[in-house]
Amino acid sequence: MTRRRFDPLRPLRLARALVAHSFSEYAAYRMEMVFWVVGGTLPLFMMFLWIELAEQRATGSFSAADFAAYFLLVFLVRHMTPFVPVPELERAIRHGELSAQLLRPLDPYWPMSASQLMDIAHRLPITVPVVIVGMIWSGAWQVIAFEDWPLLVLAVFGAILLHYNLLYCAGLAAFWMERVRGFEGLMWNGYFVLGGGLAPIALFPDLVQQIIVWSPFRYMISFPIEIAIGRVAPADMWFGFALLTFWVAFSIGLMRLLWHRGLRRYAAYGS
Amino acid sequence: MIETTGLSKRYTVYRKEAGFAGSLRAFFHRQHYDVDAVSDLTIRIGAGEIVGFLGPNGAGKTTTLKMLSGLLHPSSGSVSVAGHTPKERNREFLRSIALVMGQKMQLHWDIPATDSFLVLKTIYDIPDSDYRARLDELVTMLDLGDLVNRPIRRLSLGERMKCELAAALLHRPRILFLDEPTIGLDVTAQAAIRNFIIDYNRRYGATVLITSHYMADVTALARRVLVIDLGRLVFDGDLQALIERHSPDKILRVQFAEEVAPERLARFGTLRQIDGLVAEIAVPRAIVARQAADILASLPVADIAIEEPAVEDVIRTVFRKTGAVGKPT
Amino acid sequence: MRVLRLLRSFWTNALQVELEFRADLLVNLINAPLMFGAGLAVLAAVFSETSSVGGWSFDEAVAVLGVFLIVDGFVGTILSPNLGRLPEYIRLGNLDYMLLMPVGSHFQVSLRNLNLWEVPNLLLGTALIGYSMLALGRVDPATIALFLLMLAAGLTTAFALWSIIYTSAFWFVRVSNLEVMFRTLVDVGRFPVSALPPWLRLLLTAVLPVAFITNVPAEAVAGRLDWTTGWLALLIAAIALAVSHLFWRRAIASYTSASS
Repeated sequence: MTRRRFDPLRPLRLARALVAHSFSEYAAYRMEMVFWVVGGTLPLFMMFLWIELAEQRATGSFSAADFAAYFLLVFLVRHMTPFVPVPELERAIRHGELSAQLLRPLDPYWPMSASQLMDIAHRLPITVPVVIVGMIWSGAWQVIAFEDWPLLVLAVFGAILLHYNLLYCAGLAAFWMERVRGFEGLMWNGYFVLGGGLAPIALFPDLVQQIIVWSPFRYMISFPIEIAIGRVAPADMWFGFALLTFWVAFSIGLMRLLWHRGLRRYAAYGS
Repeated sequence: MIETTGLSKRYTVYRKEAGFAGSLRAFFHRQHYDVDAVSDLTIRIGAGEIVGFLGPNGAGKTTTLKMLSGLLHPSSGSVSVAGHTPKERNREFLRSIALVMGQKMQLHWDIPATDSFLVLKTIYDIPDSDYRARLDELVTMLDLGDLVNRPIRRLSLGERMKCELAAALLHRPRILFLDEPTIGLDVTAQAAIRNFIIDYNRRYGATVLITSHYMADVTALARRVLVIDLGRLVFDGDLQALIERHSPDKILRVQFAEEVAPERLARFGTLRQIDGLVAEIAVPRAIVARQAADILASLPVADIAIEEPAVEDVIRTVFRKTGAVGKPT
Repeated sequence: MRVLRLLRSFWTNALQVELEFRADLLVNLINAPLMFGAGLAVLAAVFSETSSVGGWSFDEAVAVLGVFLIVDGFVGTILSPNLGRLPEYIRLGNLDYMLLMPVGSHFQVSLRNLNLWEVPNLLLGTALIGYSMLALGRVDPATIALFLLMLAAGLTTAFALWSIIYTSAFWFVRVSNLEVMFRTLVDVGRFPVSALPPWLRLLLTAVLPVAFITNVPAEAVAGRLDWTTGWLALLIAAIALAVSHLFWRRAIASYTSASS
């Protein structure tokens, strides 16, 4: 057997090929994307609800502009939600397509990630203009802490990565279970509702806030948004990123564990 | 029992060019053309007959069955099944028919067949006493044994098909429509299902209409065969006799162990084609066994098979050449 | 009655299928309380800096959340496992088999399956209704009867809307987007509609009667129900059901004339 020469550029070439492939796949679903975005407007509805509430009471920790900014950003982040891992993994594992993927010298995690990136990228041209227009029209842009942008980028990246990994783990449950869609729904309730998608975490009862701040849910939606609207105190910032890092590491560990255990089972029983 | 006059079904198909430009063009102006899936079909089938419905893929067999069972409205013509108009799908009509489609399962995947049968029992209002008796009988006739108590997903394709047949016959329909029931099955399973159908027809006098593109299905089951090609009925009668008269050859497919010169094969029959080590030779039916033995004895043969000419070939040679509807003599 | 016999047969059968998926129970045992707790937390957030939202007190608003959970449970137990699978039925040929049975096709497609694992949501929602009644001191037969009547109307309307959405699967291949849109609006309906800006209120009452599904039964619990609204709820349920059935018939007529 011949030995492969060490090729440092291989990952880059692979990445480019995967992304290009996914791009053309998604280009075919352009119309779909519009529908998906239209369907994901719950944060905008919530925004109107909360603005109305804010206007009905004179004082409060969040003003109407604060709510506008908050929920417009929730809308943006929500559309970076990974949709790919669970159904794809369920299909690959339960219908045997995984076998073909395992023959290739590439962990399925990477092509799926490329696919996911394309999914997100395709929504941005629709979501970003909506957010910008909304911000300007409501005057909410004044609330944004632009100077914190490096931390914001880091937090957003961490949020997407964490969410993606956790959903990947949910998909890997297909090695053991017949139907995994339930997990997706579970994650949704935890992530979206508890993570601040329907109401800012700061307004939750104290006990609930304590729990959420330590859970991964805050870091998938609320944390980047809190940074963006300047509601994270410097001390809290360290704490937040520390927990984000912890949860990301945890998700990676869980993924590896489930993958190895799952593969063993897959090899033993077939699909 | 089954009567159609001038039955036809026409579809409008949209054509789209490849690529984005094509999609855009199609968005504004869709080109369409008509396809006559079935044209002017006129047939009479009496009670208790087993009739085979033969034709190449896409000839219109499934479409016809769907029109006879009420799943599709005809474009024109009239059809009467057991005295009812199928497309109205009234209760009495539905209780007297059954349709089994080869590739599509009616039974639930994850649970044993018996559990699905119980639902059918309620749907068709089968009395308890009759249900037990019929189920036992069908299980015996189909040689299912305990298989009905195993989840469907754990059964082989042939076993699943048998369960599907049992499900279809629980309510003792007077007419049984079978659409490619043996497709994808191995030879043993195919034979078992054919034998069951003959047995059932003999016992209960059910009218059976079976479509297939396997000649063997139809010739084993049915004296009478309707041949449909390109949506039209091209033959109605005893096919075996017709084939033997017009298509007197069987096909010898021989795989040789080493190269054999084509000239050496000429004495066994008509060489239809030779591709590397595999040759197809058309041999008159009467002597095909003898010729096969001869080839085995005198040439280096790796594998040999005696085959019926494909339906497509028969239809092409017998019907398209003459261009006329063959009348049985 | 034959209908009852059929339902019993369908649902025992469906249970047998579901029992094969025991893991679903586990997921739901976690999911239902999670949704319950999260919903309450959000409601608490809404009331965190005020005691009245859209003219509703916290104890009254809990009833709305309760109805919302019941509706969600209804979607999970009856709507999703049946009409939600229509695209699959069409694609795999199961619809053809349904059309061959001497039982109404709309009935079969709507009620064939039952997903018992989603019942926890129904129970938790009912618990919230119970709490609200207790807190408001309105535990009497009249309130309960009125609530059940409005709930039945609301669920019928929800069923009809779902049916209309999914019947369009005969023409649109991807219906899930319509469903998401519908669910989004129902999600907003977990709050008292009077707390919403006027245009949104209009959307959820006149355009899509979501308010009649989630809010009106809660109004019955809170003693806020007026005659007009009550009768309107019943009327809307009846009309919606009729429309959904007619639409279904139209769809089947089209399917049997044009499909291959």
